[in-house]
Amino acid sequence: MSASSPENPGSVADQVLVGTGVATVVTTYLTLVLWRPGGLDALAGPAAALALVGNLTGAVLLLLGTVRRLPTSTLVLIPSAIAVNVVVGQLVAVVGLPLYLDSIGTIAVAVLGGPAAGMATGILANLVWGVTLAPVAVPFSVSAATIGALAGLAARLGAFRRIWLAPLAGLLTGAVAALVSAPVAAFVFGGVTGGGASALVAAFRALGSSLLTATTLQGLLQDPLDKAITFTVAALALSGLPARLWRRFPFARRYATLPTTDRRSRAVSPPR
Amino acid sequence: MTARDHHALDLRRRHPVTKLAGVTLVVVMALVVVRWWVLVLVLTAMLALAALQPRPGAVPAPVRTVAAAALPLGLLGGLLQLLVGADPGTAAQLAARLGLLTAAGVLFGLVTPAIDLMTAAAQLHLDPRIGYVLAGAVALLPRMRERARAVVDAQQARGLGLRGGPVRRWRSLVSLTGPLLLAVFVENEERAAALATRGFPGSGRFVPYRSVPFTAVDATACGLIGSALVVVVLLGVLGALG
Repeated sequence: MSASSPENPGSVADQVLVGTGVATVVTTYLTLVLWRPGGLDALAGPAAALALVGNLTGAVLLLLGTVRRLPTSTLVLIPSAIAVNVVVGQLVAVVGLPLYLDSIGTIAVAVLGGPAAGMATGILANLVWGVTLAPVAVPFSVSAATIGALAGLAARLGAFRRIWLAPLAGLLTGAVAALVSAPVAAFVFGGVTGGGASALVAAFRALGSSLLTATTLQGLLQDPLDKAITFTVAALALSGLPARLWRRFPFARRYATLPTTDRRSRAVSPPR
Repeated sequence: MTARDHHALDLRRRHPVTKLAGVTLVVVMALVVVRWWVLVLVLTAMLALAALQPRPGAVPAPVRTVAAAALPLGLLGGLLQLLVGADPGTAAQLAARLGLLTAAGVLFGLVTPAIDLMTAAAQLHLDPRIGYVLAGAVALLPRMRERARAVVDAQQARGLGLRGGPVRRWRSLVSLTGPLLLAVFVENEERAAALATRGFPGSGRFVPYRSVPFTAVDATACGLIGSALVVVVLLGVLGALG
């Protein structure tokens, strides 16, 4: 593995793993959405097992296919980023904001290390969260991977260079993450994932929505706003970093993902 | 119960693979079994197993931690289903499922030290990068919490207010997150250099310094759990659990 390559495509085996992982997640999602098992009866059927096994298998394949591509500087950042996710979630409680903001570390890694690094961080963060604090997080690993991958893509396109673009990228990412999370929330947890989200699902159910529709609407109401704010906080926090720190990351250096006052030192090499 | 039996049920002494197999069985049962009372029986058995675990140091007893995590979520799930007009059986099924999934995850986390997980991953020839990240994150969590507390104290000493309107709170959050991220990046530089000097991850087979023994008890337990898993899946496919 070349440590200097910003986006090491990895071996053929890695690419097959990522391709199979994406195919597994997409097939699981389409099966559940097109099949639309009816209401609460879905809790008793194979939909729950499909939602859990399909998403977890996809997440593991994506993780195995991406983690080997990462340079050491990015890999070493991931444990700290996971801890930041958890601790910032607790800081939010200290400050008293009604938000999750539990993916700032994932987004920071994605901005500096790229979509693959963001994806791996998202999956690993949810696994660690699952075995230490909240087991409910494990089945949502694919959503976290989606957030990491889209944050990396947004960074590559320059969304973190201008602060006003970050919330827009967050809104889009949140909407996609909500769609990805909905089948897991519906069929594995019956719409109950704790906190205010469960109350919103119950409200939509009471208004006559199906279980899947209710979890989708709840996600679309909460996630885009949460991710818009998370992206903005991450962009503000990262923009304060000295350039010598973030330029050590090949992806950030190559695509100049963060603002710099020294235009001459920006990376200018075109993407291959 | 004999002392030897008690030893076999001490989950801290079991290999992580055995415990993962147990978690898999519980998760499959939670998803496949429809009769709520069967799930409640399994949940009760898990709480009994948690009650048998020794209490390490001054932390709360494992059974209290497991119950405190699993029971409220389960009850919330059941109540919400009743509120939206589900029949009591379905509500009880969802409550028991949520309780089981949570209890299995929390108990696994409580009885599996991160270093054991990393060692087991290395013994199974899993990529050492994944083991490093998992163990590193678990080990960093307490330190990061301490650092966050220090950042909050330092910023408050400089006049940062944590109360007020949403905009002020949001600004406070940015003021707290920035220093935290900066500290992470500074530490990261040193750690990356140290690992690169040691040739991490390397191209050869990773040999762990310590080992987690896979004992005869583990082998027997894995055999039993595997058999139970096959039976549960077969009964589920045949519709006998519906």
